[in-house]
Amino acid sequence: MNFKRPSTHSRMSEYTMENWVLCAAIVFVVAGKVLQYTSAHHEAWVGRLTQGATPAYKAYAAKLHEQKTLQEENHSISAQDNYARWTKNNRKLDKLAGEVKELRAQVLSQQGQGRKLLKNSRLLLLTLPFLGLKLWKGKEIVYYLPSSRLFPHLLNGTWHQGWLFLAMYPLKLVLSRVNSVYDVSFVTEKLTVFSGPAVGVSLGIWLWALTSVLASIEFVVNTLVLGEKLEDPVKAAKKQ
Amino acid sequence: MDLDLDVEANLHSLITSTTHKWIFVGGKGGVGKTTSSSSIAIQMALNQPEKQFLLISTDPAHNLSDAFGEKFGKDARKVTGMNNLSCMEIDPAAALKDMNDMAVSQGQGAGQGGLSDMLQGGALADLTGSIPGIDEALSFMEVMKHIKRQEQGEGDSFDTVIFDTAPTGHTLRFLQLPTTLGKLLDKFGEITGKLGPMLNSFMGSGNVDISAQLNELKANVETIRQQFTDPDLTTFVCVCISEFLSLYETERLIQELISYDMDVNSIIVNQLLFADDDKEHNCKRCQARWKMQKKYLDQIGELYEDFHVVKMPLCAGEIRGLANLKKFSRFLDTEYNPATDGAVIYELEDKN
Repeated sequence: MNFKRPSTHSRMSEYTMENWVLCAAIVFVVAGKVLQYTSAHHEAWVGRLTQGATPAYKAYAAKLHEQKTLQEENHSISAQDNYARWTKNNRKLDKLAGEVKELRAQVLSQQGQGRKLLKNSRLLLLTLPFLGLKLWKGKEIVYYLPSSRLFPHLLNGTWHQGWLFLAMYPLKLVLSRVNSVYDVSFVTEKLTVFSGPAVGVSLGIWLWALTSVLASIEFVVNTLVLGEKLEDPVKAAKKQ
Repeated sequence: MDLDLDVEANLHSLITSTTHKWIFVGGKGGVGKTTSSSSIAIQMALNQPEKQFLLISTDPAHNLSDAFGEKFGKDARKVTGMNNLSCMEIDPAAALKDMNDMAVSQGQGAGQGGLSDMLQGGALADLTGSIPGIDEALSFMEVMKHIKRQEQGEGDSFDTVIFDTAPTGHTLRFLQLPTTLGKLLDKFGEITGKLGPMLNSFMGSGNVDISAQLNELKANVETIRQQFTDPDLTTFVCVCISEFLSLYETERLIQELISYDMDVNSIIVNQLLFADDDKEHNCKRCQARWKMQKKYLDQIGELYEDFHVVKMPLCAGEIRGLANLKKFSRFLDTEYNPATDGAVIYELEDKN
């Protein structure tokens, strides 16, 4: 996708959107949505990755199995007729209870480490790069609007330069007043506030619009298709 | 190397032990704890005449006096007919009354204000009497008093103290006291370290330094804890009868004692019928009960292989009085043989 700068747009963005930027942004959005919808399975994934093969988890599972077997055996025999066996089992169960408690603490600690690993991975591989991309390429234009007369000036500026435009606009007004009395052009020149005739949609705004549309679609689908149908309230019969 | 792992079915090693200072005898209610503790005390006193022994009952339902057929009180008194065995019964109610009387007498003309005045007004007995586990605490105080006396070389000094303990729950609470108290004093020490002067003024000007008293108490408690967990100095003798619930409670007691690092390697099984060898009095009921007792005895053997399991017979009458106790207690030193010793169970002098 190459966006050529229209020749008539003399004061439009200096940047040209490159394909990889848009692709990377879409990948981040999709990855974020995938992680959002699979959050229920994250524990299991972390468990498989961090516990399944660890000696503590294997020992924990084995001890739990042994505990269950002994409990079942003790429930199946008469304590009075098999007192020695029953008591020996109880001693083993007491010992096992301590071991299981210790192993459970180890497994939980490993689980916590796994959760932390997942959280950090998400931060390092998704959140931070996505934020970096938005900061770095956020002002690049994804496409130009066919006409600059579609939206009011404020909105045009916002689409073109992102949310920063809204923040800078009042400052620009104040500075223009000041400039008329004192020469502060050395400051105003630095503030590249949109005022040109060609209006484009910057990456930051495009991503905001994309995620908003996706969220709205999700809401509609969840409400109309996936949501549980509520039963109509029962109307109380009128007293005669 | 051929190791002989057989453990004697008697308490000879304990009875002749010269190192033990504290011997606890405990078990479920009604299994013969008092008879067993009295028997151990008598046998030890007979075997080691050069030493002094003290038998203390910490059971709120005292029956040492009944067992020996003479009245014992809160102060140690020698058993008539034995010059190296003394007995005492700790009476929580009487001890509390003493504490209260002492507080009132100290308070006469005091009027120093503070907490001490309130306690001297008789509130001490009310306060302490309502504390759960006060019986155990008083028994514990007796132990501390005894240790202090030994350290200072004052009054009667005893080489070995035998405790006729209360039923299992009370005893376990008593044995937990050194650990619990140690932890409590540690915490309290931290607080008094910071607020010591303020607490002293709160208690009234006539009182001594609380921190110093607490440190002394802590040192005593630590000494007791160390002695109780030393197998050369302290041991626990479990008493039971050959029935399910008694064995179940004995097992619980043993496991708890092991968790406190206390030495326990002796079990006295009381009230056995030995009906096979009793040709003269061998009714159907006795045979049936003996069959049941044998079943549990086998299980005891399997469960406590490394314990001294002493099997004691059920006697025809109550084992009361020094003479009867002496007769009965010898089976702790040399195991009872139903074939040759059977007559003893009908020979007890009637003390009822």
